[in-house]
Amino acid sequence: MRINQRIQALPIAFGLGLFLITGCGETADDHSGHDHGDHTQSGEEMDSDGMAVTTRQSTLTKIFHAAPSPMETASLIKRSGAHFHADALNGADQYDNYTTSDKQAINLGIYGADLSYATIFEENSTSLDYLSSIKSLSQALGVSDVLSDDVMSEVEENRNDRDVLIDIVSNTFYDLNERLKFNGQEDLAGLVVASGWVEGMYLATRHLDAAPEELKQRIAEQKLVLADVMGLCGSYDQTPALANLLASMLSIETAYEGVTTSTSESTTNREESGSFTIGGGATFAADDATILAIAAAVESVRAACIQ
Amino acid sequence: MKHTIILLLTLGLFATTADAQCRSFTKKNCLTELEGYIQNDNYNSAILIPGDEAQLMLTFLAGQDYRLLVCSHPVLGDVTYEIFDAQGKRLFDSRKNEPDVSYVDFNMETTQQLQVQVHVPETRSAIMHEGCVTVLVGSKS
Repeated sequence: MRINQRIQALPIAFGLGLFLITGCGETADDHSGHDHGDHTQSGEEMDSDGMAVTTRQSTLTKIFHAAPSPMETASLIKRSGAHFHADALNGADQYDNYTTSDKQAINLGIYGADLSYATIFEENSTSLDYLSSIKSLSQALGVSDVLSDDVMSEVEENRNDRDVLIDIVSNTFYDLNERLKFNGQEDLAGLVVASGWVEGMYLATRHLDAAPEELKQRIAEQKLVLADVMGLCGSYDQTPALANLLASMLSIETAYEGVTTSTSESTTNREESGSFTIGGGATFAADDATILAIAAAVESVRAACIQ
Repeated sequence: MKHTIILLLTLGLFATTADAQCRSFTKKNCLTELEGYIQNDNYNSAILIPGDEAQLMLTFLAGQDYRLLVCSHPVLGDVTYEIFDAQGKRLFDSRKNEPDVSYVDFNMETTQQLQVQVHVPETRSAIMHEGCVTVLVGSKS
């Protein structure tokens, strides 16, 4: 009886499959505009651009996890008045030391943060070195198309244009994240995100003796970002490499326990431009001992990452 | 047994094709709306049906300007979204947004973890469609 039901379901399943597959050949630009309003299509209309008749009956709540990007962290470091420290970067020539996919993903995250840092500080020659190493690592991971020859040519042509380089770097890491997830390699995407955050923090916590007070404040606030990173990476299948990296980052969480938090009500103000300003919320504080403990924990995790 | 395998393979093909369509949808219809902003690295896209919800928790850093974009296939109707702070206070409701665009721009005075809740409206249609919903975050200093 069950087999009969399955056999009966086959034509329906194949029919739906054919429906979707043939849809892929259609042009999909009909909805490339910005219509997100109350316009609804008829049930019969079908396109290839992310819409189909559903077979699902029950509703769900999809939980997305995310974390600020290394570019945001680098931007935060620069804004706080810190200086560029070339000696803190993991050598761009080290990429061929990383021979397993786990190590390649981890150091893709490390190099991504180094690249973001160099690009934000307009160290464009350094940026090109790291892009080249990232291309090699992404090739090794089978996602070389995120840094195609066309993209590398665009980089060369715009090597002195910081804004274009920032766009290219951001697009590259978005594409990388998307490709790894699509390929079913979310664990590798998790390694990239976690190690990228660790490296961003490593760069932020160098030369703390000369660091401006604002940078220390921003380091303390990263307590929230660490929670984002742990939540995001914890949502992926825990391969030994990912589980090990997250376990090692528990020492950073422990160091962050010294950060104190006080909460006030959030505020919103609408500007004339139509945008909002959001203020209030939590305030974070950390004494020098706590900041040094965070720096030491980050340094230890990072040292294991780049081995 | 053979039929079961074929059925599973076929269903697997559906999922892969649908995922590919979502990637394509996001690239063509959503990323362009982040022009002028540095896009966050995270790809957050899902295939949702009427009545579904999606949630995103993310830390937004002090001193940054952000654009939060909720991009959905028109077949899903008027997808709405709200932003809450960590204490559950609603800071933004897209149903009150003027002009009627799929994104909201804001500046963070302080670093805060915010939650975005996305709602796909119910439908009375006999044939229910599924469509892509993508949540994107862009930033600039």
